[in-house]
Amino acid sequence: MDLTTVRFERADRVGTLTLNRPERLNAMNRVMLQEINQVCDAVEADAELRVLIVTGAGTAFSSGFDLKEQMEARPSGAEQWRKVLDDDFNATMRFWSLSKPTIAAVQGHCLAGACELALACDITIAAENALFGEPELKFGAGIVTMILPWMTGPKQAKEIIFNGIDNVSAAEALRLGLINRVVPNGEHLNAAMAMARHIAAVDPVLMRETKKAINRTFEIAGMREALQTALEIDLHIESHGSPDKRQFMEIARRDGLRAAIAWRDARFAGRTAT
Amino acid sequence: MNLLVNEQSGITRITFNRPERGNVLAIDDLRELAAAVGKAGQREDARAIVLAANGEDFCRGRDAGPKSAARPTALQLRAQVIDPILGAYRAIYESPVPVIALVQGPALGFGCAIASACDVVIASDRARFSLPEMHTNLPPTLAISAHLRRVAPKMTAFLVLSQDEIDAARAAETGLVSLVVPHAELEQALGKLTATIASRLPTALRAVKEYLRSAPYMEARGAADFGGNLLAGVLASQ
Repeated sequence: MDLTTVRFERADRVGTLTLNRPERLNAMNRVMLQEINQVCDAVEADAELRVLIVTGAGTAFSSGFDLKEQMEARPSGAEQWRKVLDDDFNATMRFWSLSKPTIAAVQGHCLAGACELALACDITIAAENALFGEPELKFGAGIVTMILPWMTGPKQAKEIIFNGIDNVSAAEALRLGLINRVVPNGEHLNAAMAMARHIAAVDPVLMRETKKAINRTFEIAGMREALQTALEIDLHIESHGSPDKRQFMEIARRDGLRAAIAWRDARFAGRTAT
Repeated sequence: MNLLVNEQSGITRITFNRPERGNVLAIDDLRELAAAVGKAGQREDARAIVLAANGEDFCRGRDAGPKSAARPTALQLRAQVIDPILGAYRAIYESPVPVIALVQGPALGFGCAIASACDVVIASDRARFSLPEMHTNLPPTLAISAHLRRVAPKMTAFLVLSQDEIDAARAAETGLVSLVVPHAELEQALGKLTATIASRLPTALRAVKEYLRSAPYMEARGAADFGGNLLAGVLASQ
């Protein structure tokens, strides 16, 4: 496999996919989404591999979909946006749909699209310094994969999404049911690997069928149709374009993404209900 | 080659081509069928997929193949036999563009189910449909799954329990067939429909298929909203 934005390693029947753009906080660009699919295809096809871990290189899991790339590509109109959002959604849901268990090993920022990806994994293990959240609404964007309400309660999901909360600590995420375990800083990958080895010792057919049964529980409750409906709504949000998003992108193009984020945060300074 | 694939103007035609055996399909053929439907739908210019057959029969069912000595377990059966069958139905269900069956003769068992799974069925007056599986005490639950929400439930139950064959006119009355035409006019009828479809925008066709696929499984208000969202999305992109 010729990979440029992710790394893929295998050991003890466990595959580890590392989002590998640490200089950009592992922001997920188009190439990375393709490579995630490529690695998932390979894991699916490889009978030797029984578990897939996904983690981030450097200090963060990932900051989400690559806004800089979006800023430069300037997708516009429903047709262009559909392609962008379908790719985002499909890469995220690969971790839910993969026939083998998936574990997210998280440290640092795990935001927006990356938070959704970590939630779509079967298991999520986080270092104490992990920060989860969905900041989208604060810069005029919508939610691509509306998986948060399926993982926690409606009040909690709405609070996080309405407020664009992007600093949910690992301890809080654990309380909300977004993750499985909190481990000391630097230990997230070791803990994920330990659990992966345990899972890899189980008969893979039994594991595959059992994952299917659990996934089916949510799909019978309408999860897929609900996610599809939310994706369609996000398509409208993005292709319509909110004034906040336009301004955010304008500042980002003129003064850089950092300035745009500072502008965004200044708008909400002193207004965060915590 | 038990399957032939041709493409023209965004319409992919997949033809069952084992006429000397009544177009009975083996498990590998079903895998190939699912892959061909999947690949046809991936084309950016895809507008529709046609399933047709060479010879007198549309498809007289599945070729069970040689019996293995050991009795397979339920899980082995799922992987080796059942999943490929469901995979063929699912490929049609998940195809982003409409799938049309062109039924020129008997469609039995799997043949009846695969026609039923399609979005549109054009049948000649020589078409016949039946689900004979209970003849060997096989409950045709897979075939029934392809009939759900497409064919009147009492006709599905009747086909299974009676093992009777019905003609195209009867099939059309119960939703299994969209259009019945004289045998000699079958290609002409298909040509008329595909010409209309070929002149439509792929985004509009995809929205139609997506809605037909998903809406029946949504609660009423969600289904109505989803329809509104899809329409608005298409209107906004034209």
